[in-house]
Amino acid sequence: MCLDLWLREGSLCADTQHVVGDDFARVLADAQGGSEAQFAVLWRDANPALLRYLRVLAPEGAEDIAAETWVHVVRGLARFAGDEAAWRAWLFTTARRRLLDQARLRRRHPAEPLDEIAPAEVPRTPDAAQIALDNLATEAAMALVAQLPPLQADVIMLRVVAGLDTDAVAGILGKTPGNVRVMAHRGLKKLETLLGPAGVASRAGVTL
Amino acid sequence: MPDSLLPILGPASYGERDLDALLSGEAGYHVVVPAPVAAALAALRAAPAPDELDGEAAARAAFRLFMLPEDGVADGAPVPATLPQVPALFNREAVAGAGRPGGQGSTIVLPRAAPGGPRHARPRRPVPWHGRWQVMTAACGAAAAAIICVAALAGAFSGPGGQQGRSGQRPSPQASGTGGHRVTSSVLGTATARPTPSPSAVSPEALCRQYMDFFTHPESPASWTAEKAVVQQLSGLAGGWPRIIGYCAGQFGAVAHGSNPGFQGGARAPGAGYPQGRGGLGGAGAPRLGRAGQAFPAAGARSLSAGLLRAGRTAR
Repeated sequence: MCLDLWLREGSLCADTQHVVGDDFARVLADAQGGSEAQFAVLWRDANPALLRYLRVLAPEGAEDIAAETWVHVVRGLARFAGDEAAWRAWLFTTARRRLLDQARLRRRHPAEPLDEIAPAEVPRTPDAAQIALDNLATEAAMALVAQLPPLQADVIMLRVVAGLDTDAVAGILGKTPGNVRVMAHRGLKKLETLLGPAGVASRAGVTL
Repeated sequence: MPDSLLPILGPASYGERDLDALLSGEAGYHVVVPAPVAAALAALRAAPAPDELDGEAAARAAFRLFMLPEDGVADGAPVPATLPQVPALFNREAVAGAGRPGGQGSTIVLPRAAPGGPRHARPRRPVPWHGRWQVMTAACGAAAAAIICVAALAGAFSGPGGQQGRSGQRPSPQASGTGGHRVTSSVLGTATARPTPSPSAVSPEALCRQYMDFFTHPESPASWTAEKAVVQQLSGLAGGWPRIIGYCAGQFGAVAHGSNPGFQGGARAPGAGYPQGRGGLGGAGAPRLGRAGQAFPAAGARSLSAGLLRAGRTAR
């Protein structure tokens, strides 16, 4: 498994998707049987993508929401049945519900930090675009996606980071598959617009 | 098959297949994608950073909390078989994670509840005080009602031969003239001491003596029935209850005409010929004058005026 290889040898994998692969059924069964090590495999597989998804949509409380999501997932782990795609869909559906709960809570109890600069004053857009153009860092790419409209950013993150197909994303968001495709298309065009003014071609040598 | 994508104006347009391939990171799509966009999407799928794996310990703790098997063994790591019984609200025991895999000695272990016990048992809610007071009030009311019923039944069925008894207290002698001397004799259920005399077998003198005994022996257990019979007989003989006293005085004077000269109507020698009173007002044997100028014996417990009132009451 790519992630385990990275953890053991410090090497990098091409991406974070499908690291469990064919062993998913066995890993899931062992985790449901109480194997903490196999549960750790599932967690290492999904948590980075989960954190990235949450950091784009809720930068303030991503870690808290992720922890709460895992608690809910663990409580329902014994009842889960499905393949890896269903597992990821369930995980991100749970995360999105926790995200909405957190958003409702913050609307009811707004909090304003005193010693921090307001987010509106942070010149994030040009810096993020420049960083994305320079080194294509993950954080810069996430900051770039965060500038998209919320629904488009949601679709892009669920499709790209979570690795869900159109139907699964449509189920999570409560939209039709065609609507999801429209949102993804518009999101990509928006990204292209954001990156366009720089007029810089990729020099990171990323192979897709 | 074309999808429902809206027409996009611009230099680059993505088809459905190319879009799926681009978003899913599959290689081999032939769409012309601006390099920055493709690079950004690839960066989103980059390998996890170390800070993205920091929460593994907490996730493992949550897993042990909810997924630990009943026998207490997970991954070969022994767990104490007998977990201490703790209240449900504090069912989290911090245990040092020595010997845990992954070198997580500082991991906080959240063991499950002991098997067999309720996981979310709540303590019993105490009974509110107002409920207790309501119960106590109802009990006191029931006890009071029972006492009243017993007293009423006792009063209703007391007295001889099923005759309705009187209350244990006579009417207060308002006009007794004895300076507030109370009559507290009770006749409740004690009507058997003196039988009602037969009018035909008793002489007028005996009736008068019996009548006077009612005044001179206030604590006598004679019943009102016997007294009423005597008063009625004397009323018939004297021609009315107001004349009973005069009639009896005449009877006593006729009987003891010489032996008891002091008990006559009209003036007489003070302090002579009267039966000695018992603690009456004015001292023992002190003569008192009635409204008709007659001298009457000082009753021990009741004055004569009270006797007259009572005689009139009973005659009516």
